[in-house]
Amino acid sequence: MRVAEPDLLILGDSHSVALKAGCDALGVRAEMLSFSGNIWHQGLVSLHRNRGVFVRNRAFQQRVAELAARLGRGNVLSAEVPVLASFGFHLGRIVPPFGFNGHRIDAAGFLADGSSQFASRALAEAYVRHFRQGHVRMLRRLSDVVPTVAVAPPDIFGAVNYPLFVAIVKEMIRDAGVALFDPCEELFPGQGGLPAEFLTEDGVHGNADYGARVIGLLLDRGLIARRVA
Amino acid sequence: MERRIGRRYGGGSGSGKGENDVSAGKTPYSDLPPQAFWRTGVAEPGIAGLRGLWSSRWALPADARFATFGSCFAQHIGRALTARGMNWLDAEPAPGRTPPDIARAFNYGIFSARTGNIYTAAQLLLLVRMAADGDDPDLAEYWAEGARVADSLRPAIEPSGFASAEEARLSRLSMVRAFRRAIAGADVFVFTLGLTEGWENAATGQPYAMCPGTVAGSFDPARHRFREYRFGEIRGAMEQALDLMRRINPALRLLLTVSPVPLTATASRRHVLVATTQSKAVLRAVAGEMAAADEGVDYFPSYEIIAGAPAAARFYEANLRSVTREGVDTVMGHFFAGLRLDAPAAHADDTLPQTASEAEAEARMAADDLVCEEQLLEAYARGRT
Repeated sequence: MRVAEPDLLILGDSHSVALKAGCDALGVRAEMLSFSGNIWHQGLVSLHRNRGVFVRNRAFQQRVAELAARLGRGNVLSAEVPVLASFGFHLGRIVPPFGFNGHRIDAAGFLADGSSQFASRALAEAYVRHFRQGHVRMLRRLSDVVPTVAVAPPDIFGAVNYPLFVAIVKEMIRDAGVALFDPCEELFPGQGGLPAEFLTEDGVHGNADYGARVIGLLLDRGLIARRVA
Repeated sequence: MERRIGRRYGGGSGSGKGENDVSAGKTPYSDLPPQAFWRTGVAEPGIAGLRGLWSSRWALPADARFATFGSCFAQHIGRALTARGMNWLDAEPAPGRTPPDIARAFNYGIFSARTGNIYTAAQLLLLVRMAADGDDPDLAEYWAEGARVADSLRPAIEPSGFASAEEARLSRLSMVRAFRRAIAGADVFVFTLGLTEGWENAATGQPYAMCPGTVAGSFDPARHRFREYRFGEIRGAMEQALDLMRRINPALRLLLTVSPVPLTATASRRHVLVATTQSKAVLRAVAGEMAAADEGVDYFPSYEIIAGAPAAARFYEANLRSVTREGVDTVMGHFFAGLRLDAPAAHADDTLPQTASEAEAEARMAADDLVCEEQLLEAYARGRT
């Protein structure tokens, strides 16, 4: 069934769900096009001249086709519909492997664990850039044609090396000239991550209340807006 | 004349006992195998036909672990062991899934720990002292390079240096830990002796990997002193290093090689060809003497294969310095031909904790993917109702 032109499109990974719930709660008409972090990590998603988004996986491309049908246009992207992008991080796919051989970037952790190895920031940067430069390039190209705000994932992992990896991706996105909104930095500064009451049961995603706080702040800042009827 | 001497000493023609015997009876050379004679051992077979150049003096376990260090030629040995699926000990591997070009740029997988090239025995001894807890790793210098910092022990270990002295310090400590793990975990410590020339701090005596000011740091004639290490110093340093390594791993065997790569430059004021010959001769003598004196030490003749007359320089690139792929393959062919891995496996029961943790992490990532995809599916399902 064809829908009215939405206020925005949420394009990203599973962190999109909280953003969509926030939009629903605050009366922002949002469409969502999301794929798991692994699909993004594998580089299967790209921009497409005619369809807007293309996934090199038939089942997931079906989501694109369904959205296109709902919007009543072949291209799911439109310069009139801003994009909230929750892709480009997918840290669950790069932070754990970096630590497979005990590498740590933090001095305290390295010194406390005699079996660990120290990794320099330059090495971590080279590693992250290798795996994420394609995603950041896609964000930049997207923002060239559609008003785009990249939304960083909530700081919830507390895992070794996670903070620096997040910081590196954020730096890459900002360096690419893409608008970046970091919810935890804005909403919960100095709290060391997302408070438990804003977590889903799986412990790795923000919940609907979190999504509402994020969308509310984005509205307040004028980074997104409800379409005037 | 030459023919007559050949007859008296045997000549190893293998054409029958009578031909080599003289009427006075046998000589100590009479029953020697063909490879004991230059004509039959070298001149006739040629470089491609050389056989029996080396046979390991040890019967090693089938799954023997090799740690490789030394000058740049040593990296070929580690690479060849890995290519053969043998147990090359990588005590300081790159982070999991590091792309090969990045790993190489940061000098992972070159030696068994990120020591960089260890050219001199003095350098080796310093690192072993650090690994054996005798010397504080922080006592060696760090060099400011503008906003970056270089490690005087490994000036090229990071492509752009370190972000801070603290980072350089932590990285060095990581290397020292790994170097100790390599010593502790190896059955054979393969060390390629590279140079007799080096530089040290005139006040502290700290040896440098490279002359300050060449790759990193800045040269100060008042602080930096040229050293031409003599036979006795080199042998002494090597024996001290081996003694300290055996305190960490009493069963450790030391396999020495001499790098066939000539000096890039000499500060000895002699011609570089003469200085190279002096350097290689001294290192070759140290290796030979150590092997003769200690059953736990062996010498593998990579130097002879590449630099010896039989090869007629065919294993060098046009610069007469870099060793060709063919040369490396020939060296490693002799290495594997002489290796004796006929003792029972010794490490079959060893667990590799990193493999277990990697498997756990993989399982966790797969579970996380499932959670993420389920959450998306639920969201899509809600959108349809």
